Amino acid sequence: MGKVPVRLKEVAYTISPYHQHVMTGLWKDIPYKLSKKFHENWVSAFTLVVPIVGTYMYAENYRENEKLHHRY
Amino acid sequence: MARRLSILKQPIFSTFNNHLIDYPTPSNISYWWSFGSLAGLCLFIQIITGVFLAMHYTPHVDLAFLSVEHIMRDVKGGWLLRYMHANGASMFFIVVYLHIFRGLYYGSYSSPRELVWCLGVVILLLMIITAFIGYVLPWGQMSFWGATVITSLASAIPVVGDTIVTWLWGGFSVDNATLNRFFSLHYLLPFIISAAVIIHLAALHQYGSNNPLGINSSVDKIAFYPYMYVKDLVCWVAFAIFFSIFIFYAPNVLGHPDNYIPANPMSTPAHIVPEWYFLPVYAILRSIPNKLGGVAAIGLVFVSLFALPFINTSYVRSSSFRPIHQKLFWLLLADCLLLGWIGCQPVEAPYVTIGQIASVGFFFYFAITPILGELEARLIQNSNVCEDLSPRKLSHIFKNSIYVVK
Repeated sequence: MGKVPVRLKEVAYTISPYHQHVMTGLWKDIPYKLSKKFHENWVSAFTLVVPIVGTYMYAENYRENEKLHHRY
Repeated sequence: MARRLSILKQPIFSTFNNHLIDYPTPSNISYWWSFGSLAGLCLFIQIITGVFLAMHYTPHVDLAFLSVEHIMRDVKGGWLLRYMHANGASMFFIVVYLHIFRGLYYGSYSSPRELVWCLGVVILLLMIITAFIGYVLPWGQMSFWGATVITSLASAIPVVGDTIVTWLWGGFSVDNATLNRFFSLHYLLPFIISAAVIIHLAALHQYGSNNPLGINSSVDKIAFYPYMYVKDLVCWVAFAIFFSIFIFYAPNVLGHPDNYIPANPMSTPAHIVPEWYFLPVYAILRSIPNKLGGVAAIGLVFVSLFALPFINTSYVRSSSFRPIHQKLFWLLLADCLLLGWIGCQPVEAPYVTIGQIASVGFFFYFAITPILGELEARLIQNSNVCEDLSPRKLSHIFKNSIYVVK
């Protein structure tokens, strides 16, 4: 086992799942949650998507121009 | 759990208990931590389906292709075994790539888990070799010509290159000798991978799992069973659904149709393309006009992965608290996806130039890693919060804080 002995916590459930309202909690404040996700991650999403889309569009444009260049 | 079942304190069972039941796990690990066990499931599926396929497969150049068709058409459930094995390989690589990228994002490779990371890279290398060898076995056009192209790369080695290639082939071209030894190795290597996985887990269990915050989680651990067992089970079910979509609705979408043509040494396919999981490395190989240079570049990919824990200078693990590294991570992911796309394109403009730039971009991530940690530390030091702190004091705080690597 690990080199450092650790005390394990035991999680005790005292509320029945039928009273926890897990699924309704998922949909609660959905617009706020979506907005927060967007504001926190839009830069990362752009950093991922823009190079891929931009490069693909560049390649397609290049091929199209080459076809036009070879057309009589 | 051991308190309720005293048998778990007995020898053998106690090992099982310490590593799988009462094993301390950080309470805050997300679903990104489920890909490890999922990879183990994929390995298990590949071994079981592979063993049953091997009962009906014939490793001879005149019979291999036909034996695979025999499995598909005549063997009861053979179509399922074949599709599970072929698509299982793709699933295995999807899961492992996600597992690797999770490690990159959350700094799971950094101290004290360097050995875990290095063993993981060894497993990746073994998986790549196993998958490449396995793809040769159906003896289709892509099997034969892919094997010819990749094994020929060894001839780039100065002085002994040609001798090595002849030794690998067992002759003067990819032929029956090659197929037989590839079948033998493809049966052996998964068990070597299994051994590597056990050592990988042993190394992991030395210090325990990382977590999304990248901090020392000794203060808040919960037992693996039932919490992480149930979490992993949810992932396994989701994976089974995803896997089933490919097996039952699109079993050939990840493959190449040319591999349904029996191998013909007299007819070279127009575009020799490996399976999708090799495309990024294939793109890097093709980016360099020189054969030895291309082989060296592939070697450099794995050397960079091995070296990552040792060239990392950041005191902070998780990219959640490293804004510059976070952006670089997403750029690396975009770069790898672009390399994958370039790998299946023909070698002509503009794909050649894009591939070369993307290859440089891939290595740039590793080249900048040693500088990045220092740069981020200096940015923190130069910020208003840390104006009064000297670099020595800052370093002392980092080293003793729960947010840091050591």
